[in-house]
Parts: sequence; C-alpha cells; structure tokens
Amino acid sequence: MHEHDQELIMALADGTLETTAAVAAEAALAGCDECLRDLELQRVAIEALDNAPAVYLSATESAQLHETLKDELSMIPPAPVTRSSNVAWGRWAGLAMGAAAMFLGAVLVLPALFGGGDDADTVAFDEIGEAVQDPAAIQSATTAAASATTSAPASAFEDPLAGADAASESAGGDDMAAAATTTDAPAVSPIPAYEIEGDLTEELRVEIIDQLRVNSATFTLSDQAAKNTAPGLDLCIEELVDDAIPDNAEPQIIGTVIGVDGQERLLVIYVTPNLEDTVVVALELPGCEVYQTVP
Amino acid sequence: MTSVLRRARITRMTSRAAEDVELLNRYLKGDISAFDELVRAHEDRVFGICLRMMRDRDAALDAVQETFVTLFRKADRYQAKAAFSTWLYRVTVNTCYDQLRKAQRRRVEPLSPTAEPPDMHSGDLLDAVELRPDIEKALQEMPVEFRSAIVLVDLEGLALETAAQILDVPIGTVKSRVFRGRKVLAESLGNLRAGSRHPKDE
Repeated sequence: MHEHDQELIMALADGTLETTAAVAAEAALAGCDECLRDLELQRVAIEALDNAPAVYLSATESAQLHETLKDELSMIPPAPVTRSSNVAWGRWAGLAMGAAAMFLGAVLVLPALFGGGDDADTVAFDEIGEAVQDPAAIQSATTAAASATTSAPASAFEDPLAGADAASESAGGDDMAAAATTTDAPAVSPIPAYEIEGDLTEELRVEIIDQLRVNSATFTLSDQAAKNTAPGLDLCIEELVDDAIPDNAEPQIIGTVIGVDGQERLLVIYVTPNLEDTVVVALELPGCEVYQTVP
Repeated sequence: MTSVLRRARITRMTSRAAEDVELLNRYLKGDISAFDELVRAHEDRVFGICLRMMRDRDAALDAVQETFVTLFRKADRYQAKAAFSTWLYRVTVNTCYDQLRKAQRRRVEPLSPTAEPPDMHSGDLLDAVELRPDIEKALQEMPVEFRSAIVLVDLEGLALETAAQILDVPIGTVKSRVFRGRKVLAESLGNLRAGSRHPKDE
C-alpha cells in the first residue's frame, strides 16, 4: 500500500473530504481489498474511540493534587523571573550584529575624524560596549540607531528583543532554554518583525519560506503571541482558513509580522503536509485585507 | 461543516491560549497563585493523557504531579514557538514515557530466583480506568508510540500538527502512528470477522 493511500484512507475515515472528493476516493479504493480493509479498520477504531468518555480528576483527587503540589513546591524554588524568547533567525541576527557593528564603527571612527567625543558619545559607546556583551542590548542599540536615522517604524517592528533572541539562538542557545534577562518586558515575547522594501517578490518569498521551514520563529494557529502582536490576528487567520485553505487539508499555518514599505503587514504562510504546495498570503493589518498572494 | 468546526476550535484555543500566556507571565513575575490557576486549567487534560498512557490511576496521578512540578521549575523555558498547552502536553507525554520506562525497569529486576518474567501486557494495571475494558486492553497492547499518538489525536482531539509538536516528530510520522495504531486497536477489538478474506498488512 502506498503512503498516499494511507492518507486517503485516513481522510475518508475521518470524514475530512468533501462529498465529491470522498466519492472519488471511494471509487479509487474500490479495487484494492487491502485498502478497503484498512478503511474498515480505521472506521471501527474511530467509532470505538469516539465513544470513549471524557476523563476527569475527581474533586477529591484534584484537591489532593493541589495539596501535594503545595507541599512539594514549597521546597522547590520557582522558575526564575525571566522572559522567554522565541526567535531563531540566524540571518537576521547577523544583520543585527552587522548593524550594531556599523553603528559601533560610526561611534568610534567619526568622532575621531571630526574631533568629536563629548559625554554623549561616551555614553553611546558604553551602551554599545554592553550591547556586544549582551545580545539583548544589540537589537536595542540597533533599533535606537535605526530610529535615529529613519522615520519611526511601526510599533510591531520595535521589539527590542527580537534580534537578541536571534543572536542567542544563532550562538547555539538551547532550543528549550530562554534568554535569562530581567526586564520589564512581557515574559513571553511577541513574534519577530521584519522590514521589507518593495514587493514581496518570488525570490524574497522563497527566502522567507526557507527561513520559516528551518526555524521555529513562527506562530501557529493557537499561538497567542501572534494576537498579542497584532490584535485581531486570530480573526484574520479564521478568514484565511475559511477562504483559502481546502477543507481536506491539514493546515499548518506559520508566519510572522513583516513590514512592507514601512507599513505593518502580516505574512501568513500556509504549508501543505508535503511542503510543496505552499501558498503565501500577505495580509494588511488591521483589517485582514489581502495584500499579496503568491501561489 | 469542517470549516465551522475548525473555526470553533481556533476560537476556543485562542481564548485558552490567551489566558495561559497571561497566567504564565504572572507566575514568572512571582505570582504563585497564577501557577495554581494554570494547574486548575490543565489538570484534567493532563490527567487524561497520563491515565491513558499509564493505564493506572495512581500511576497517572503521580505523573500528573511530576508534570506540574516540572512546569513549576522550568516554566521560564517555555518559548512562544507553540501554544503553552502544546509545551505542557509535551512535558506530560515525556513524563509518562519516563515513568513507563521506570516501571518497566522495576519489573525487569527479579525479586527472587523464581520470579515470573515481566509481562507488560498483563492485566494488573487495568484498575479504575475510564475506557471500556476492551478498548483499554487494545490500547494496552499496542506499542507506546502508537498509543501516545492515538491518545493525543483520537482521545484528546488534538490536531495532527499539535500532536507532532508534542511528540517531537514530523507530522507524517504522527499520521502513520495514528493509522497503524487504529489498525491495531480495531484488530484487537475483534470487531472484524475472524479469518478475513482480505490479506493482512505487513
């Protein structure tokens, strides 16, 4: 039996195919005894499992659990007060490092050339010096440098910790480990934001998809970080699921907030299970208006 | 229809995920009561996974407790790459795997020269389970990898993608495990006619 038969049988058994597709699938399997037997087995199992009652802790068990946890946890130090990171884009980390280095160079070289070197420059140097030691500060310094030379970016692009997270990850940080910094920022950082000039070209699309495939700096349907960054995003995703994704697909939606020509937009990428039929949809925020779709 | 169901699931998960993130943030800032709320929000589902993985209520309760102790200690390691619940259920499944391995090791250690050989399929773990005994026995007889996939996808109703994240395997692997697990379960249930004329799978 081929693997695609297995998927087809599962889709049929799960009832995720539309009527016409289901009829066609049944017809396709009609001549395969093994497939029909597997389909029957799948349906038997699904029916049995569907009828399984939900499992709950009894009130007594729940109370005991909380009591036991209370006792046990009183002897264990809680998780340290930290913020967690979710960014793993080495390339962008490199850009952040590069920008920081350029800024550092400008701070160091230009005063020497033009006879500067007042207290303000010294303070700036000290900040960048710390940035080199602390990835979190790199992006902060980079953002500060960028904001000093360009128009103010959209709010979603100002996450001072995105580059830090990327730097941390590119430096070989543990996938499950978080950067341990104590800041007043939210403990769970929003998804990263990037700026793109011009159209979302085919070349750029491929590059972004490749990045998203190999990294996890993305959100999923249930990731609240996306909503935190772009309020109303969940509704946009619902619309996308309803309008753009076939019912029989198992949607894997990943994406990130990007800027296109200085405007904040959401890039949502739909990837099919075989990773070949990728659809990229850039939605303009707010309002879910489709900015560009790349089949 | 599917679209409506999917929409409902997304909405529900988004709402729960929002509360989880808020509670986690509060806990990480030192609010221990937020941790208690997190436990209350997830204890039934964590218990459901543990009970169906461990097949014994006491063992499942131990695994639930261990899971939340791990959460208490390592909550700062959560990253917003996936929903908090996905991360928690991954901790849950890993805890169950660990405890099953420990239980197996304990069984392997001979108590006396005349001790019976270990039998992971024996029925002595069937106390107080919630499923029909035949379904429970069928689950018990399948490899643990299949069981975990069936528990997450078919019993807990999680999406294949979420189950893949929890089990840390590709989505295709989860599909295959669910497919094969269902076959094992159905065959064990004996709901098909004996001596089927269809050739048996390899």
